[in-house]
Order: sequence, then C-alpha cells, then structure tokens
Amino acid sequence: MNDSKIEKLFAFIAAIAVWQLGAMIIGNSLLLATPITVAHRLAALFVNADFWRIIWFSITRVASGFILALLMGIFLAVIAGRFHFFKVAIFPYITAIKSTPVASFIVLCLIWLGSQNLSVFISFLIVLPVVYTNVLQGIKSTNVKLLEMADLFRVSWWRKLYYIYVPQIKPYLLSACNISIGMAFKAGIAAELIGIPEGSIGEMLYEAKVYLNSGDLFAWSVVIIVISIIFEKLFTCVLKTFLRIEVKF
Amino acid sequence: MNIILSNVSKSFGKKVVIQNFSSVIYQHQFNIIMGPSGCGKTTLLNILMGFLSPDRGTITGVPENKSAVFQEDRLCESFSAVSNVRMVSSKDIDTKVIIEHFRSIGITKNSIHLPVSQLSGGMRRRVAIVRAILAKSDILFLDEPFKGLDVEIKNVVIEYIKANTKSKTVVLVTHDVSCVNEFNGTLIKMDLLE
Repeated sequence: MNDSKIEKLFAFIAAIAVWQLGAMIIGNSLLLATPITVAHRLAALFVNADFWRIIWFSITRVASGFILALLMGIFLAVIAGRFHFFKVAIFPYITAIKSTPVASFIVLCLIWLGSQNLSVFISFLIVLPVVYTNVLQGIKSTNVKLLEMADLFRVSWWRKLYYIYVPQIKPYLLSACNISIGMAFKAGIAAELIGIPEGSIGEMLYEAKVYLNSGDLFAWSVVIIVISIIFEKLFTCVLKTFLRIEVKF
Repeated sequence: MNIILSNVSKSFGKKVVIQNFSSVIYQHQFNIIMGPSGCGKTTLLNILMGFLSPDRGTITGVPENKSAVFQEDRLCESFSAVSNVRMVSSKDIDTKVIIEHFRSIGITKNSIHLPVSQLSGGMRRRVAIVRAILAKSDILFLDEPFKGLDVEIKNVVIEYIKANTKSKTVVLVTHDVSCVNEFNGTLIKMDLLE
C-alpha cells in the first residue's frame, strides 16, 4: 500500500471516529445513528435475499441511464464537433438540461413514464450534458497540425478517429465519467425517493424516513456510496482497457 | 508533369511574404528551395501542400498523392514509431519492412515499439522521415528534415533519403548549402523582399 492510500485510510478511520463522537454527543439514535448501529443494520441487510434484488433493481436502472447518456453524449459531441450548425442548434437543449432543477425533471418524468424507469431517465439527463460538454471540449482541442498532416497523407476517417481523435478525447471522456457516475447515482436514487418505484433503494430510503429509522437510512446511504464507487472503478477500468485496444488497419 | 508556379503572391495581413514568384519544380527530381530566413520558403511549401491558397498567381501540376516531413514532427504521441508509419501507409506494407526502414536509418528495435513521446528529438525526426518515405505518394515535401540531427546521423539520413526517393519528385526546403551537392538537385532560390 502506497503513502497516499495509507493517508486516505487514516482519513477514513478518522471520519468514522468523528461520526461516532458526534453520535455520542447528540445521544439520540433518531437524529444520528452510531457507526456500530449502521454496521449492525448492514450485516442484517446483507443476509436478506431482497437486499440484492433491490440493489440490482437500482444499479441496472442508474447504469442503463448512465451508459445511454455516455453513448448519446459522445455521438452528439462528434456531430457537433463536425457541424457547427448542429452545435448551435443543440445548445438550447443542453443548456436547458444543465440548468433545470432535477426535481422538475423527476415530476415531468413521473407524468410521462411512471415511476418504474424514472431513475434511467434522470441519470441519463444528469450525465448527458457532462459527457457532451467534455467530449466536445476534447474534440475542439485536437491538434490542428496533426489533422493537417492526416489530410495531406489522405488518412481515412477511421484512422483519423483511432490515431488522432481517440487519444485526444480519452482524458476528457475519463474525466466526464469520473464526475458523472457519482452524480448519476445521487440523482437516480433521489428520483427513486420521490417516485418510490417498488423494490428500489429509493423506496427503502423512503421507508426509513417514514419510520424515522435513521439506522436504515445510514445503512442504505453507505450502500449507495459503495456501489457508486465500485461501479466507477469498474467502469473506468473497462473504459481504459477498451481505449487501449490496438486496431490493425 | 512538372509543377509550374506563375507569379505566385501571398500576404498575411499587410505583410507581403511572397511576391510574383515564378519557378518550375521538375518531376522525378530533387528540387531544393533555398533562401534566407523569412523569405517565404515554408509559406511556399504550405501553398504547394494545399494548406494555404496563393493570393495571386497560378500553380499547376501538383500531384494528388503527397507526403511530407514538416518542420515540426507532427507525430501521434501516444503511438509507437511503427504505428505512426502504419497510420499513413498502405495495408500491404509488412511490419518487417517498416522495421527494416527504421533499422537502416539508425533506430533500434528496442525503440520502435515505445510511444514516440518517449523518444529523443533526433529519433522522432527520423520516425517522421520514415513515415513520409513509406506513405504512398507521387511527391515528397521535406521542410528542414535535418533539423536537430547531429552530423553523423544527418549523413545516415541523407543516404536513406537518397536510396528511397529514386525517380520521385522531391521538394526540399533547407538552409544547408551542402544539400545541393549531396542530392544533386535543382536549386530554387528565394530572396527576401525589399
């Protein structure tokens, strides 16, 4: 384990100690459950068969929304990078999606689609502008001299994409994914909390609120944080591997 | 077909860089453009390569298939030397042939699979030269190709270029007077505008 990881581990332990201390000072488990209570609740949840079904329900929906937004964001950015008029035409939509409060979309989506696939749509809307903006920025900052070189050598569009655009866009895309995966989970679960689709993490949070069960609330929050981190690490790893694939032309 | 330049002029804003320049670039020969710094050699090359349009005058006979060594190396940094050549070359060229070209220009087998960002300036220059040589083209533009090369390597590169450009139209821009004798080329002189 390197120094940075040891530092992070100590910071994590210190944060749990602060949490425990805070809970002891407040002395009311309804207001702030102790880490031990949360650990007990987590242990109880792990052995419950419904726990994994609930997690699967929420992950598949948030991840679907994220992946759809990733593909759509890249596609739109490529078109916008190629055709100026398209970039201008799409500007109002991207700005509206960026600026509109998530709650407005949640209500709108409840009217349009119902609650079952609400988190797909909300994650999609949260991730789309981040991916679009980052990838477009990457395309815009492509080295013009390399493109001139490729034109002179009459390099095909596919080779230009592979040799020039992909390496250029790669850091922007990875950065967009790092930022937006956490946002997708936050917004997706918030949407579930409002729409309360049956068998979702949002429903569990809603029940914790109704029954003033702060132990469950904290336990499910920890679950959301953990699945968001695991998904981010796994997805980034898959994406990096995919972008490293050598293509023979 | 020879390339005919007739009364070519080019300005950037109020600065006139080339004025009424006429010349002939001979097919299947080494054509060496020489002149002092700022006389418009690279601008003329950029016009011939199609990156710039002349303000006035005409240019005829420039082939479609071009290759070039630019003043900057213009390499794809995260790719290896071999991949940089693969990017512009035909599918038919075997990797062994590419490796043999690198060997003949003094780039070792250990270096050719590293990302070019990890290579020295001189090696990168040679990668750019091999790339231009192995690209399918009817005309080769060389803009100061020996920039950053020491004397020993420069001689190796000169021999490599000579051996691989027989019966090809080459346009070389350089400050180096010795190149005229080395390549036995046609000299095209450019002067500073008054």
